[in-house]
Amino acid sequence: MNLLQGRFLQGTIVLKVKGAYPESFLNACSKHGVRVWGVRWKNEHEITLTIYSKDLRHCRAFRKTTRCKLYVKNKDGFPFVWQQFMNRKPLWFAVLIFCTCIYLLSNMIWSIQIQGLTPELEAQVEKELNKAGISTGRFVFSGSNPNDIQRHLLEEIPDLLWIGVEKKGTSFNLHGVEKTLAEKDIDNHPSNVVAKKQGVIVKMFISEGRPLVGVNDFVRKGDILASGKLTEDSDTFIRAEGDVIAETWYRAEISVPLTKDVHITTGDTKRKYFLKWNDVELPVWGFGKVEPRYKRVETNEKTFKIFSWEVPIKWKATKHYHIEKKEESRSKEEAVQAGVEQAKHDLMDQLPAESKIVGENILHQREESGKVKLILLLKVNENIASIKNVS
Amino acid sequence: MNRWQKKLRQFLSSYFDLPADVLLDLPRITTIGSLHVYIENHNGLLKFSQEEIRLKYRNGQICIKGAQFVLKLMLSEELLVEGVVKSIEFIEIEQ
Repeated sequence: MNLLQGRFLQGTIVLKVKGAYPESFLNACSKHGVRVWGVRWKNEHEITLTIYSKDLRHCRAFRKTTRCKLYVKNKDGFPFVWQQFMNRKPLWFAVLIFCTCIYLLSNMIWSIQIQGLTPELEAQVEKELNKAGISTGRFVFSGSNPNDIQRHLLEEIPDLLWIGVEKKGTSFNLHGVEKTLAEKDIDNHPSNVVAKKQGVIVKMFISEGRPLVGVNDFVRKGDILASGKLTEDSDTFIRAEGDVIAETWYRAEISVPLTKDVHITTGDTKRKYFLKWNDVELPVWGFGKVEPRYKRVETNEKTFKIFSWEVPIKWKATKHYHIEKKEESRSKEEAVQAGVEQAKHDLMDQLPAESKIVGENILHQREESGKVKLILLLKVNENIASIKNVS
Repeated sequence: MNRWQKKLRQFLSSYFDLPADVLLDLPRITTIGSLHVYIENHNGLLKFSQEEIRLKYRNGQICIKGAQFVLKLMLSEELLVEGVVKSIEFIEIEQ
């Protein structure tokens, strides 16, 4: 009976009609378009019937003209259930508290387990975790990503070789591997100290062996700097060791443009917030299209978790930065300066860390189609000693 | 409706095979076995009890007799009765 669809949603009322002639009430109802159903006969002067709750107002108006008395016998349907629920404020308050409790407790760290580490290292790891905001009883929202924690721990504790961080629901499981320092094997094989590159010796310190060159000597690649033979004609060879710092030269070619593009963040930003469900994004704040001049976009997504279940709704915040592109021209001197710095930087990347650039000479400088071409000679103080075994 | 009009309508209904309930303003009664009676185009409820229902129509009254009558639905000109129907009787009252 589709005429009575949505009965539960609209709410229904069972009425008892008492009067000398209850049929007149039925006629009045049908005449005024009040839908009536389930009419049952009780006795000559009494019937029960069902109407929609919204029609009760109309029915009250018929009481006088039809000389009937109405009694509400029963109420049913969503509006009444809702009313009942709303009348019980403590109940829905409890439901709300329950939900928040579940959410909060499921986002709390209940245990941290560290495996595979010595007690001292374990204590250190715990201390670092504490600093990163992870300890039992604390809340962990989407901020602390296991990968970030892993990186943080590996950076802060040098004795850790590797640590696996796994978040399992409300507990963190860490599995660490300690670094064991390998014993440096003492090599007793007889050897010479040999030059790695050509250069002029600036400083030398030979801890074992007989030096064959002195400060300010020019040496070529492969020259013996210190010999393991302690005297000229003895047969006893020892292992020669030492550091020899020499001045070496490098040639670098570099071209520097006279104009450079500078991207400036002007500080003009726009923020947008979304609720995200799979690929559907519902804007919450920040409407309208972002103009193309806001080039850089930073996106931040937050997920919500209940135990290990991830709520499919995500919170997404985007920040759009206005980036201004400027073409800055620079003088020839500035370009040369920048070129030299660039060359030094490139060279330092290739050399061992303890090397030092002590000077630079510009051999050649030429301006060509908006660019300055430079040929540089860089002087470097570096260790050229290498140990070569004697067979 | 005067007599001429009535005659004309009767003629139209029989000659053109048009539904009589529309033209002649008569009730249409559908029954499903003796379980349901569906009455359209009536002019008001006169009596309702478990054993008897009386309805007004243009020419007089319809009297439905039976037992355990319940009005399943009541709209302005429609009525659905459920129960055990024994008889449907037309009582014509000449004006």
